[in-house]
Amino acid sequence: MIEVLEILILSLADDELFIGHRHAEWIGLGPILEEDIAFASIAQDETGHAQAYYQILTDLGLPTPDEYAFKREASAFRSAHLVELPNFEYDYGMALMRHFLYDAAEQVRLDALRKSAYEPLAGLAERLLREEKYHWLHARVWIQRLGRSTEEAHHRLQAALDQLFPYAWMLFEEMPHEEKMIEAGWVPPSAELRMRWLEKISPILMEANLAYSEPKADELQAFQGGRHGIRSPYFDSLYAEMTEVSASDPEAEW
Amino acid sequence: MTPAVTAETVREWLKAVPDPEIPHISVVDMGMIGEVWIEGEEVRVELIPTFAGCPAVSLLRSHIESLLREKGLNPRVEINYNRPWRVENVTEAGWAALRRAGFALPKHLHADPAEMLADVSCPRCESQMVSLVSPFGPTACRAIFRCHSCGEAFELFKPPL
Repeated sequence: MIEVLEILILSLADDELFIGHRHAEWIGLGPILEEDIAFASIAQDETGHAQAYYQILTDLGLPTPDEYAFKREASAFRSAHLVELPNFEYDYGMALMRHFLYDAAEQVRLDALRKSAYEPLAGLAERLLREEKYHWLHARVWIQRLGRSTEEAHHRLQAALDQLFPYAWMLFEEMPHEEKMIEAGWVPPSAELRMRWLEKISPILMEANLAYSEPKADELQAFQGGRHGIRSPYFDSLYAEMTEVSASDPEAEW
Repeated sequence: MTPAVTAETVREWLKAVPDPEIPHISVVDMGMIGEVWIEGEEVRVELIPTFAGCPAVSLLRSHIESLLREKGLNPRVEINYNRPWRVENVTEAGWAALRRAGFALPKHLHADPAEMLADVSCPRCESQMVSLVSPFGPTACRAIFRCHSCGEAFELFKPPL
């Protein structure tokens, strides 16, 4: 059962690790200083959350957080492709929309995990949620404000939503052995969490006059597999960059 | 033979260790020190981080350990991520220290963050004519505001809610 637990925890942790890294890429490039600070601060939280998730496994005698983060084969990662996507042309509309879709998912996920039968996870979810409230506030306020501001802002947010929505949809891809996790009371089914996520984002998007359409199963081919070890085309360069320092001296103590 | 050290003594000593991100307040007054266990010269200190991603934790551990080593003890700091830090753990002296350092203090500790950020007074002139510049500041536990009455920028101490 520890292998199944590892799949669940890594799915949560790897999302946090990479979204943290992508958010941190905005340091020095934010459109205004305050947003620079906001993304830096959120990035720091998310990376810390990844570490806290990995630590649950470390406490069971599995690898350390550093080993999980910096010394793994690509196929052993379980992140959704949404978090691996680069910041492309550094369009802030894209950054905000990913932040919004992802943090709404985190709210839903953590709220469910608080009631997990696996106590270390329930306890951690309770703590992380208290920090995540600020991320969610930040994301949703920007979407609400910009969605109803200028034509350009609205246009860019809609374009971002169109591009990111199928990726975000796959944050709730069914995990391997998910039925065992559900039976153990660790998590509700991913499909059920996706419904709760839609209920959370729909009214806010509607208020901002932004629309999405639910992807059909046969359109999702290119976006799925993250939870099963299939990496997006963006993973290799992302991971090479993230591990550049640790790989330069693998035995170094930090 | 050194006189017996008690948990209370250790706590008193640790009041000399500042929070690395808000050095005006000690780790004890910040409510980050949990249990203290003593067996002979061995002392174990439970450290409760405020934010899960707080980068200052390992620095703090080494500050605490070197202070206790100077006192002739054999210390070990155990960082407990499983015990949630609560804003209620901040002591009276801690709140006073934050106020002296120029921080605005949250008026609503059990509310939605939007509510907490919407009801803030300037720590310098008490005015409520303030606006939120950013809910994120130089560290995870600080938010940036501007006062329209006295024109000063200030920070709100922003705990995990």
